[in-house]
Amino acid sequence: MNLEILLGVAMFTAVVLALVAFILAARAKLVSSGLVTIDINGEKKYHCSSRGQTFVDFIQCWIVFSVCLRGWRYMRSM
Amino acid sequence: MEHYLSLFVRSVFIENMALSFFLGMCTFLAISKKVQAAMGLGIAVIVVLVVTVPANYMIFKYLLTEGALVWTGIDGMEKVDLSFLGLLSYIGVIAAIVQIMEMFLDKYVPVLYSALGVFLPLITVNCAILGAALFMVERDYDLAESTVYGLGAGFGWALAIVALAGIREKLKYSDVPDGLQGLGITFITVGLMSLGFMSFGGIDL
Repeated sequence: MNLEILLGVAMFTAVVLALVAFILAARAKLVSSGLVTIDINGEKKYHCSSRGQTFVDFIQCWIVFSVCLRGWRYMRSM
Repeated sequence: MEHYLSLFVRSVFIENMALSFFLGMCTFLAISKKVQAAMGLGIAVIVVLVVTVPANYMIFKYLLTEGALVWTGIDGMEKVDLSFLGLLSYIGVIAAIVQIMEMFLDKYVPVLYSALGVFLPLITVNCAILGAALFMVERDYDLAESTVYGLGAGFGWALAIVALAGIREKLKYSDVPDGLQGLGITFITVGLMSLGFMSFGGIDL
């Protein structure tokens, strides 16, 4: 009986750890991460931390910078 | 080969997860408004079932069932029965596979990822997925049978949701009475589809 309980705890821990390792391995392959640098014609460089995990976050980051860029160009034209 | 074909046909039509056992109803009703999204979710469910049912079979057969740990060669292992860990392990495997599927869709098919929204992580708690794993254990399938059963169960569920989405898209143009608009008419439609699928019940394969 004691053996069964101990084995149960050990097996559950092993299964969960194996699944976590599996997810982390997949995440390393599938999720882009790191610093994103947007280079605008060599004039200006923007650095964007892709803190979000997903491609959608990256796109949102890109939209924010394109809006900033528009404002910056507008200010330059004045 | 004939046996596997019969198992596949039975799991798609006669023992349809959605229309015979009424499993996975939450997503079945919520994502059946558009055929495109329904098809995407159907494919996601097929992939999850094809991967999780054999994976759960391996865990059950080589780690959890009575005498499964004999392969370790340790004395006294033939009496150890860890099948009480079954539910926890199956849900863990399903959750892991769905997480990976989510990352995959986010990277390669962001449109479908956005369309499925919260219902993609909710595949984890979709009764159809856990139900397939539990049926596999109850019916004592082997590895090949559980793979075919996973494919058939997923295909049957996908077929049902795409058919319902097709009907609901057409229903937009019909004059539904006030009290039945929305989910009311959807429940009636699902009931009628279920009656239709009951006609396959007499087929003996």
